[in-house]
Amino acid sequence: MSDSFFGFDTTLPPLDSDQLTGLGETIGGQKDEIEEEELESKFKGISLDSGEDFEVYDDERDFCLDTQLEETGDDYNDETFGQVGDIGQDFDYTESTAKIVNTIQKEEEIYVNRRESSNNSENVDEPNKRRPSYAALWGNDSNIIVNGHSPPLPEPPISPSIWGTFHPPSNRKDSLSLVQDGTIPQRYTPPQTSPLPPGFGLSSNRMPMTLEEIEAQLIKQAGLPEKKMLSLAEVEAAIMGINGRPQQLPIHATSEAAYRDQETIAYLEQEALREQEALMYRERKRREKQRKLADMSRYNGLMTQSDKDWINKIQISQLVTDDPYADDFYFQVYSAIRNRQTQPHMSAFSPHGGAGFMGHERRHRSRGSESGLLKMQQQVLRIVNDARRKPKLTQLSLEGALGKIALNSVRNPRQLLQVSSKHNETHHHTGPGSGNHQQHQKIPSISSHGIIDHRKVLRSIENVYTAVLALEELRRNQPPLPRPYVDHEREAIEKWNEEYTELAKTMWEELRVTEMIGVSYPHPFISILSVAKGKKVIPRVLRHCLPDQILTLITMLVANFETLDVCKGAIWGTQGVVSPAMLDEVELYMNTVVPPLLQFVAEAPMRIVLGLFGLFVERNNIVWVARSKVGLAFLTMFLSRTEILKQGGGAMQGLPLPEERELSQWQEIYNRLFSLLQNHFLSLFPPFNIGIDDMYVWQFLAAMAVGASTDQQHILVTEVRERVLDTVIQATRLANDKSSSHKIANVNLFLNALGLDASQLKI
Amino acid sequence: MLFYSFFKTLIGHQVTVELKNDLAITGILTSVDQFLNIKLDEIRVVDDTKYPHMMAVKNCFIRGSVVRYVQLPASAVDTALLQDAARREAQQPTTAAAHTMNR
Amino acid sequence: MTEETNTAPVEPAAVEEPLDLVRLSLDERIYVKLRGDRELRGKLHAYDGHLNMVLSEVEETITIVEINDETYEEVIRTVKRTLEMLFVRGDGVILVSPPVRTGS
Repeated sequence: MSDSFFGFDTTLPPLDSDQLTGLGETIGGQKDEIEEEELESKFKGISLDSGEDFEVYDDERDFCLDTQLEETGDDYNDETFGQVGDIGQDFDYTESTAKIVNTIQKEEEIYVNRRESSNNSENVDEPNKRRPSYAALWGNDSNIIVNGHSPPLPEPPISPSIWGTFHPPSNRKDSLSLVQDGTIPQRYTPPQTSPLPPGFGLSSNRMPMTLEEIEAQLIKQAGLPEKKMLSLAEVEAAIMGINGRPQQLPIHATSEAAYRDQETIAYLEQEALREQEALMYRERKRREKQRKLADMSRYNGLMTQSDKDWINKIQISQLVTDDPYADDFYFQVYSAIRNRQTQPHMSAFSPHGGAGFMGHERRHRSRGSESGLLKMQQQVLRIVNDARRKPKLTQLSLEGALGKIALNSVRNPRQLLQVSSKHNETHHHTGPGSGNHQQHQKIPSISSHGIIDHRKVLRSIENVYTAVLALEELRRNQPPLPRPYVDHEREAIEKWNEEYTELAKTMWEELRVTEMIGVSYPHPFISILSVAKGKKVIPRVLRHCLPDQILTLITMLVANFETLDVCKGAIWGTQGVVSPAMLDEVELYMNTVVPPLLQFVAEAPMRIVLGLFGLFVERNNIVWVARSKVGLAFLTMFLSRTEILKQGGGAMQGLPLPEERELSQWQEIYNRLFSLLQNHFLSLFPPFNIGIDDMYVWQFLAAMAVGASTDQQHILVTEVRERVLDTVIQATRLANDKSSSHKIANVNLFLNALGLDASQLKI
Repeated sequence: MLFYSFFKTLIGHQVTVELKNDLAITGILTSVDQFLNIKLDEIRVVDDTKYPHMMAVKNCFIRGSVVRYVQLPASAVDTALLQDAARREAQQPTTAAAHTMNR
Repeated sequence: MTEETNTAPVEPAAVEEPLDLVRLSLDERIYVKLRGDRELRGKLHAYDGHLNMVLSEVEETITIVEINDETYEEVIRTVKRTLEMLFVRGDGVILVSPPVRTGS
């Protein structure tokens, strides 16, 4: 077998030889290398360039050797190796390599040697030192110095390489023998005439002095007979060489050197000492580093890359979830809202809890720059799912271990209180079918009897929120409409429908709309509406309600209207005191509860509107309720809707004109309302000049005026005449003010309904 | 994770962090982590006569645990959404009982 | 749910975790007592398991007890300030409760 067959070109990177010799051998070889180099540096005191210390960090190349192997291009393997049968990936490296073990060893030796020579390429004097003849060496060196080095004059730092020559290397037998054997090709021994690489001076400067060398110097300085003639001669020769003087014979140089200035020598000595100290320090540091590296290198290769990847994934999975809305809800939705607001086409809907856009946003999130994140999420998804499938234990007791290991996390902190929840337990037993939603467990039972105190109301509201949030999340995750004959899609949508219906039912029950009237006061649903967050949840609730549920809700509201906080608490008396907090509540009610109900009524047929209208007038103290803004708003709502229907406006919605019976029913209700409010129309207004916008009253009066008979119109005008005049007078005074035109517009709402206009008024 | 999520939306806004040692620092929130450690830029100490040594500091990192309050710009907070987020957070399975219920 | 309403009237308020009570106060004004003789009243917008909170329209009351150098009498002084929107770190919280109903 020839070397060339295996492609053993020693100029190839070390990886190739590693691959072929196998994992174990490579590591062993490396270790030998390290030891060898360590020894070498110890004896010669040569500091290696720290940049190319060892390969202890190069652990990547030890992994996945099989995957790096070329699996192609081995068509002629059988021909070459003989029939070896099927070759899998479970290579027996030692068996294969045994065949070529001799070559490998040789190659390795060459490789080691080559590495050293390349490592020490800066110290090109090294191979020279291995030469048996020092004279030849020096002759060579001086030539080199002359050729490649032009040191400064007149006081150059001495090249410590001269000291090194006192102690020729003693541990270089292997390479030395190779050199002597001629095994190493000629190119590995630098040609004697070749100029030094530029690094020569630098690395040779690092040569430390030994005690003997210093001694020699001292002896020489004291003028004592020189014990080491040759050494001294060499010292001086080196000095000569550095000084750029041609050097014929060592002896001659010595005699010349004897007359040299003592100061130069003293200087050189000091320099050398200082340098040596620095070198020793550096050497110590290097050894320390080396020792640490060697120490750590024991653990090299303990983890494969896939191990590391696995751990990375676990760590990432702690941070990334498959559903960013679970842990990062606020940020995700807030950002989505902000993004939408910067876009020109804004939805008219309030952003709060808008179920539609979140799903939309979600579908478009995985684009462009975020594809990397998506990829990672996909990778992590499996781990997350696995973790989810396993029950999250708070404690783990290993077999044979004393005590328990706590498995706490951000999600799952150590529990300081262990309150056994009876409610939850009973729930598990009684409701296995409905136990699919954790929300159920959050919904405590509330007695349907007795007085409902504030906390219970709050609890009801929070339960409604829980259900609404769950419903909104379900809406976001609504599966696509099933394609025909795709069973799992059909099943998915059926399952979804089931869950949705169940949750919507829960929500509806928590609203407590259907509870008996009169059992508690106020009615539980009215109590919910009396809390700010109860009002806020209504629009979100109604999105998940069926039409007849909404009707039930409005009916309940209308029937109990006077018990509403925003009704009973916001009635303008003659003194006109309504607290600012209550005014806020009224505004909130007008902005949250009224719009969806208004929308419902605006689509309802005459029969239903009349039913609600009649109930409202009948069940409530109208004179009282009408003095509240919300009460008037409801009355206006009914009046305007019935008026539209009377005039055939329902045709757009496919509704027929009201029947005769309905019209007479309407007239009946209207007359009843009018007679109730007669003599009280002026009291509907909030006190004049307290900064309350009375537009809603004018709107109501307009709605009344439209349906009024001539007599009724006359009564209306007579009653509110004073207010009309006051307002117009005030508006005239504030002619330049913005509020002026608004006030006139308010009055005109009413006057126009009567066929009049504020401008016709003569004040 | 609720407040981490929350504070992320406040990055770039000016906040005033009041520490437990009564030092109050106003600055632009530049980053926050899950421990609610906070980085502020362009900082200004509210009572700089009392803490003159802070004058030269332009930005700082505040360990979350030393914070007492963070005063926030109300305009940058969506309270309704925040309440929803808090409700969701409250529903997250944190107790052993909740773990038995799968979602 | 119907099963629950049927089985539960005997037990009007089921056993809850303490934090569930805090949840009831979301979007409501609450009273928070803090370390260092501080009290807060404000509307609760968010909380977590550490009782970190976000409150709005906050009124902070700091009670300072000073001892008169001459008479050695305790002089109790309160400092109040209002804050629009405030994050409160949970580790300083001593108690959270609904405000006294009569007070608001």
